[in-house]
Amino acid sequence: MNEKNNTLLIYTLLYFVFLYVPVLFLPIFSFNDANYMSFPLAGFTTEHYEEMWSKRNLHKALWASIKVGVVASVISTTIALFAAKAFARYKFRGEKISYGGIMMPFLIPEIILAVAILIIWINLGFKLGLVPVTIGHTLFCTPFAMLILIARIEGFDFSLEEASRDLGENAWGTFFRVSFPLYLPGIVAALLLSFIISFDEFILAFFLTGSDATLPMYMWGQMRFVQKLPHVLALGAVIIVFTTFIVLLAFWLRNVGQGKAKKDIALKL
Amino acid sequence: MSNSFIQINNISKHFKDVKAVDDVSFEIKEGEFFSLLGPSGCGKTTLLRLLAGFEYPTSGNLLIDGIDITALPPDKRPTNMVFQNYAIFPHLNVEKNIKFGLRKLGLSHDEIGNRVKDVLKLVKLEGYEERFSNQLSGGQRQRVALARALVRQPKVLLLDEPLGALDKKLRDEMQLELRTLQKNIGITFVFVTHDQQEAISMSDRVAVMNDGKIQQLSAPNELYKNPKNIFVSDFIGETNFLKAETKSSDGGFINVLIEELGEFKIKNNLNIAANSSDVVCSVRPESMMISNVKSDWDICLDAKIRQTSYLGEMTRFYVEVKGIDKTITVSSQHFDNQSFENNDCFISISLEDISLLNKK
Amino acid sequence: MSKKTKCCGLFYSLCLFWTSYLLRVFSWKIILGTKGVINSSLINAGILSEPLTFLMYSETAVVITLTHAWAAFALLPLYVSLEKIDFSFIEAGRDLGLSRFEVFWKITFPLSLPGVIGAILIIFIPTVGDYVTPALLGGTDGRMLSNMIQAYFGKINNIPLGAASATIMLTTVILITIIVSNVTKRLTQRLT
Repeated sequence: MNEKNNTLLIYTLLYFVFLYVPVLFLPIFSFNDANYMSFPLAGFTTEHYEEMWSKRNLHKALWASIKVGVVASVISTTIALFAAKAFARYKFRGEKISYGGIMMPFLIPEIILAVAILIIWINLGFKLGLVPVTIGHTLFCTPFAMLILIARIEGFDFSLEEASRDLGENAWGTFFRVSFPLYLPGIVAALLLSFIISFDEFILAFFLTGSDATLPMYMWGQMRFVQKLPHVLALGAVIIVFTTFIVLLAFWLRNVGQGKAKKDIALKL
Repeated sequence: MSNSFIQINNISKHFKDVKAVDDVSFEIKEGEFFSLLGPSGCGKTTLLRLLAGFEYPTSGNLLIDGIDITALPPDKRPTNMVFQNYAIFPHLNVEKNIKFGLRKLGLSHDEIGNRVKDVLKLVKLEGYEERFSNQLSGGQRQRVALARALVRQPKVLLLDEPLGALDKKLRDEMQLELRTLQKNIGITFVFVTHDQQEAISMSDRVAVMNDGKIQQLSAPNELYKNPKNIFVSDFIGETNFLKAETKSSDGGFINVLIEELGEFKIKNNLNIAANSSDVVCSVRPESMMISNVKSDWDICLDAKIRQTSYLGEMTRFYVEVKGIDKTITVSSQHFDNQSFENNDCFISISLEDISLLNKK
Repeated sequence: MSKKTKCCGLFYSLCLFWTSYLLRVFSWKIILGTKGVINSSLINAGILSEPLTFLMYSETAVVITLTHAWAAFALLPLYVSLEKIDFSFIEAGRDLGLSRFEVFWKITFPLSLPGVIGAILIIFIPTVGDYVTPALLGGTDGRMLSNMIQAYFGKINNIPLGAASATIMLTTVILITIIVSNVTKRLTQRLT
C-alpha cells in the first residue's frame, strides 16, 4: 500500500505546484523593486501597493465592479433559489427545457453570450454601460448559484417541511420558520460566489461596458504598458487574496449545518 | 365512543399508472391502536399520508370525528404525525421543536409552558430541553417527535414506521412503551409498519395491505389463526402450503383431498366452493409435532429430517415427506437434538390446524 | 486517504479556479514573456544571450496557459464519477488477482469514463471560445476565433460577419455537446 501511495503523493504535490506556483509569481514580484520580472529579486518594496491609494480610475473601476457584483449576485441568487427549489423538489412539465435554459450561459462559450447581449442591446437602441453588464452577469451567475442551491436543497430532508405543515403551519410559515433558516448557509454561499464570479468576469464586461470600466477591465488596460506591470501585480495580489477569502467563506458556509441533515438522511436509509 | 371515528370511504390514490391505494374502505374506532401492515410498496404509507394531508386522494373521501377532511391541507387537520426519520428541525432545540406547533393554537404563555412540561414528562425527556437533534440518540429523537406531535393534543396520531431506525432491543422497549402511552392518553393511533411482529404485538386491530388493497382487517390473533387468504397466511408468521382439491361440501365442513395424504373433512370457515382445485392448505410449523414414534394424531406421516436449525427457544426442522416435492418446515421446543439430520421421523398434524384457503 | 483530505484537495484546487481568471492568464505572461521569469532568469544566469522567442506569442503559450487555467475545473466531474465507484469493485479486482495498475486500467478507468468525457467537454466549451489567453499570449500565430469575433465587432466593424462567426462557434459547440452527452448517456446506462 505504502510504496504506491508515495508515487501518488508525489504526483499530487506536482499537480499542486503546477496549479499554484504560476499564481504565486504575482505577489512575489509585486514586492520586487524593479520593472523586470526576473530572478534573483532586486529588492523589497511596498511602493506598488501605496500607489494604489492615489489612482482615481482604479477607485472608480472598483466601485463599478462592486455595484455590478452586488446587484447581479442578489438578482441571480433570488432567481436561482426559486428555480433550485422547483428542480430539487418537484417534477413538472418542461422541467428539462427550463433547466437547460437556465444552465445555457454555463454551457456555451462566454463570448457568445456577450455578443448576443451586445447585439440585442444595441438594436434596442440602448447605450452600453454598467446596466447590460449587470444583466449579462446575472445570466452568467444564475447557473452557478442554482447548482449550489440545488445541492443544498437536495440534501435537505423534505419531511421537515411536511412536519411543519403537520404541526399547523401554512406554506408561508413553513418557508420562513423551517426552509429559509435551513437554506440560509446555501443562500449566502450562492450570493458570495455569484459576487466573486461577477467581480472577476472579464469578457461580458469587455463587450458591454462602453466607457465605465469594471476592475478586470481596468487591469486589462494597464496590462498593455510594461511600466505599469508592477502596479497590476500588486492589484492582482490584493484581488487574489480577497477573492480567495470570499471563496473559502462560501465553501465553509456551503457545508455548515449540512452535517446534521446528512445524519438524518443516514438514519432514514 | 363512536364506532367509526375515522371513516375511509372508497379511497383511491393513483400515481400515474400505479394504483398505490385501490378503492379502500374501512373504519377506525376512537381510542384504538390501529396498524397498517404490509410489505414495502403495498400502499400503507400512502394511506397514512392521505390521512395526514400530504397527498390527496384520486377519489373517495375521509372523515375524522364526523368532519370531512378530504380536501383540508395538513395544517387544518386534527391529526399529527411521527415521521419515519422523525424530522426533528435541526435548527431548533428540543424545547423549540416541541413548541413549534403550539404557536397557532392561541394558548397563553403559561399554558404553553405547562403543556411542554407535561409532554416532556410523558416521554421521559425532562432535562433535554436545550439539546439539538444531532445531540440526541435515535430513541431520544423518536421521543421528541412523539412529544412534538402529542403536545398539540391531536385527535389522531399517525406513526410512520417510527421504530424502524432503532436497534432490536430498543425497538422492543419502545413497543411496550408506545402501547402503554397510547392506553394512558387514549388518543387514536394509526401505526404503519412492515414488521408483522410489531403490528401483532401492539395493535388492537391490524389491516394487512398488499397491492393497494386491504387483504384482511381483524384482531391480531385472528390474523394468525384464521388468515383469509394465501397472502395473509404467508405474510403473517411462517407456514407450509400443501396442494389440495375440494370435494363435496358438508355443512360447515368440506372434504378435501390433500396431495399424497388422502382425503379429510376440514372446517370450511371461508365458504370455499366444492369441487375446486384452486385451493391450498396451510399448516403452521409449530402446530405440527415431530417425534421418533408413531402418534395417534389425525395425520401421521413418515418423514426424513434433511436439515435442522437451532433457534434457541425452539428448533426448526426441514423435513422431506415421501411424495411431497416441497420441504416441510416443522418447529419444536422439545425435540431439539441437532444430530437428527438424515434420521427418519414422524410428523403429526391435527385436522383443526389445517386451514383451507383460496389460491386467489 | 481519508474523506476529509480528499475533499480538502478538491476544494483547494477549485478555490484557485474561482479566483481571478484574468490574473491567472496574466501570470503566464510574467513567466513566458520575453522579459519574463524564464528568459530573464536564464539570461541573468548567463545560460542564454538571447531570449527564447518561441515561448511567448505562440500556440504553445496559449495551450500551456489554458491547460493551467482550467486544470482544476476537470476535478469536479472526475471526482463525482470516481466517488460513485463502489469500493468493493476495486477490492474484488484485487481479490481476483489483478495488480494495482491493472485494477486502475481495467476497473476504475472504464467505470470513470463518463466523468472523463464530462471533464473534457466541460473544459472544451470555455477554452474553444476563450478570448483573453490568445489576446494576451497568442500573438498572430495563436489567434483564435474569439479574437476574430471581437475584431469584427470592434476595429473591423463588420457586425454581420462577427455574428456569423459567433453562430458557427455556437452551432459547433452545441453539436459536439449533444453528440458527447449522448455517448456519455449510453456509457452510463451500460455501467449501471
